[in-house]
Amino acid sequence: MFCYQCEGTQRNDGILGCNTLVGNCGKTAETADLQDLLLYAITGLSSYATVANKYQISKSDVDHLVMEAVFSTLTNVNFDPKRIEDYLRDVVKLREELKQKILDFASKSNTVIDLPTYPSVTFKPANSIGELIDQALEIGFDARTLIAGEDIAGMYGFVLYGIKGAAAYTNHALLSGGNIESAVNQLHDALAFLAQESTNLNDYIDWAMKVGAANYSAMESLDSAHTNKFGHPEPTQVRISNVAGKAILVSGHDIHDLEKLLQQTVGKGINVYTHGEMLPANAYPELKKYPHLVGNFGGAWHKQKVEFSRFPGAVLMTSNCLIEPQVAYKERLFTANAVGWSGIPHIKDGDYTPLIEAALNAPGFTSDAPEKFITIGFAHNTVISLADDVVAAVKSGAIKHFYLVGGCDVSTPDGDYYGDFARMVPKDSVILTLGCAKYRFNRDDFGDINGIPRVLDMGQCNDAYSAIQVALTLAKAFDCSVNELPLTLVVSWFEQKAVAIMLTLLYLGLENIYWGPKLPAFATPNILQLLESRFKLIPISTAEKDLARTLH
Amino acid sequence: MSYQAHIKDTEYKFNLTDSVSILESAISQGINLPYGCRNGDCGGCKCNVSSGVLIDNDGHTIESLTDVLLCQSFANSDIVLDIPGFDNSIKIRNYLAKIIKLDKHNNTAIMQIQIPNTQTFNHLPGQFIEINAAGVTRSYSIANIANDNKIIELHIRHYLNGFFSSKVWNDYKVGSVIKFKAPLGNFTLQSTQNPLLMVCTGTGFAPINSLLQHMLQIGSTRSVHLIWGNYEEDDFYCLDYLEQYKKLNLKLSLCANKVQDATTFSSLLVTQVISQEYNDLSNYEVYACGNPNMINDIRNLTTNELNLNKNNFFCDSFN
Repeated sequence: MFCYQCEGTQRNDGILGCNTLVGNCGKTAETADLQDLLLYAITGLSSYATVANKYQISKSDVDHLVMEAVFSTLTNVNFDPKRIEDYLRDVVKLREELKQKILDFASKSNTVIDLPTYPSVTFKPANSIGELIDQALEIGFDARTLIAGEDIAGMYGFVLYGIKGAAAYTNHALLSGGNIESAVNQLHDALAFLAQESTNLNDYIDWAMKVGAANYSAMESLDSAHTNKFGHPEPTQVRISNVAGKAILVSGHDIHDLEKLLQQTVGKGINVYTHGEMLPANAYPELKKYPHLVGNFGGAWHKQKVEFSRFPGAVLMTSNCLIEPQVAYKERLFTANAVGWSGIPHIKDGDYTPLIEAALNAPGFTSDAPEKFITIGFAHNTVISLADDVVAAVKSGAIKHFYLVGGCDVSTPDGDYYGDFARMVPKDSVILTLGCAKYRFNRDDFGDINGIPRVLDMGQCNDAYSAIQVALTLAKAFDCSVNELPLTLVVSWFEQKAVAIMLTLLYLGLENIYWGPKLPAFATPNILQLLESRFKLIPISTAEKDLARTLH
Repeated sequence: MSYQAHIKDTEYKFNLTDSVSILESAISQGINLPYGCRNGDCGGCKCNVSSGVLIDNDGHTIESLTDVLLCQSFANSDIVLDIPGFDNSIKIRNYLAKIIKLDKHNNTAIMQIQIPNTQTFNHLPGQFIEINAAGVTRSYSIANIANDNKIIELHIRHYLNGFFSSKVWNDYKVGSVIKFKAPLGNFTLQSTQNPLLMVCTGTGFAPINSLLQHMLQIGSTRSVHLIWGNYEEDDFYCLDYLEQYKKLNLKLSLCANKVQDATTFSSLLVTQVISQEYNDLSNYEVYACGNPNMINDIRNLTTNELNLNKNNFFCDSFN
């Protein structure tokens, strides 16, 4: 096993990365190795997909499988080796079917088609898990590091992890009925590039930018899917204290799961709560109409062991971030979509009956807690509708600076930086936030500037798209570039969705982004130097120092 | 049928079937039992079985549960293995490594391989690795202590038509990547102060060199007599390594069949050197590494004629 894809990876003994029997996330070496092999096989399938796309040969089954399977390898999504093995065998099966489709097309249309010849295109998975793990050793990061060096391996990681994040968003968009064609084809192209195992660093830098572009498409698709289906988020007071009654907690990002569950729980006497990255769902009009969507329970993903234990109902994990289920709640925990953990029931085909039954069998909350609320729902539609007021406030000097403080929260005290930073921001500045890093400060009262809240919660991490739209709108209003705006991005990363977003920001040309808490282990000293010199990326230091730097 | 093995006085258990040898079952489940050839030749996997019913390759019950060859034995019930001091703290796993040095001295290659920075490598001095080349496995002793710098040195004798050694001679070069499983074997130094007799032939010097490096590292004051035999004087390699061991309480005997330099080499067999210089090894530990015939000869000589406690005879047999 070797894995260094997340912020929480092992960083001692002179090694940056998890290389023992179990990773820091709880993923076993077996699962990690199978995931490496799965991704390798996917690069082969995507190589054919790029050809199919060129000749407009239908491949929606491939698109769907690749996006879900890639997503399954994201941090804290799927820990179940059997599920990963199943994905692997499905990928190879579809690869051969797609190859045959292409050959049939070539034959019928009398077209000469060059088929890819990369090793992963002909990869045959072994029969047993033990042999699969043996195969994984020869195609994983150890092999790449030995053959191509640490910088190439690191940049391969950068591109691959960006693809993972973008595939996750594409998968969310797909589930919510979005048009994923553009994003998915860009991602196939990027995966096909990885199949080439290039040893040219510049190739990887170019493709990192292309992945950033693909992720922009993915976030755009997801935004359209959400807003078309659920309406534009609107400023909303969300209750964060419990209500008496049976209860279901929905965590993760897949809002369409929440909608289906709300539909299936109508009249059941069950209150539904959001958790973690599902919080922004409370601001969508089509979801707010369900009275049994009563609010949000808990905070960021890494607190789930405590929060799920205390939650007296059933829990649904729709996407990342799952961590090792505890005895206290594993009997009432369910997974959906790409998420998996051996022994935890998996919801298939959108039928939440087992989850609902578990909720009805659980005690639920016995009384109402005192009412507490937070305000959310400041996605691009709402904020842009305030653009005239905001521009006026900037011109009058009432608003001096904008900060985007957000991203993935981390499980260590290092994440305090983001709460500290937000609290130190001068009173004449506005904070845009998104992702789960906001839980570091979103219960604080930051007040307002001329009626404009000083903290604008734009939504999930993928609502970085909203932040980009707001920045572009402001730049247009002030007739300047985004980099010339009084705007500073202070980004927290933990897993690969955040890598994808970072690549999107770099692709869009944004500079002077503060990035932390710990920089990626796959960013070797040479890669870091490149990020700092070419993209002016700034590793965070202390909230005081960094804030002072932004004010000069 | 499925059974379970328990290693006495430890927490270690592993599953058995009546169709896979006890040794192979242990290895496949990450239990690092001592072994060498896996063919019943070297005796490296011999151990006492405290309880249980065993059968051999032909399905016959094995009557004696003493000195059982685990590579040739199958379970016919749950069993308890008696392996004093068993240590499974270092896990066996597969690695990739790149060849970073490949020097040839007559018929011996000194090959250094380095595992990637992404991995840690821990082993005990005297252990070996099992290289997998195109599905064929070959075992080679680690000739150094590789824990810190992740560089493993192997001494590879060239055999005509030898599968792996031919690859080393003809195909591999610096930069080639190989796959191996490690660490394996229990040919490791016991924590006593007994005087040591180390006997090796050919590239059997490799694990002995690792043991000597370890002794240097820990500042051992134990007396050690190294007897190293080869066919010809030119077969000796890495003699410069021996310089460093002058810091140890070391006596050296280099034996060759054909001797020209009688000041450096003896024409005696290694067994003859032992017979000539020792009449009682009752307080010794003997470490022997090399071909199986030599090892059997030394085992018989030292335990049957020179009073060596058979529990103090340690060997690593090359096939």
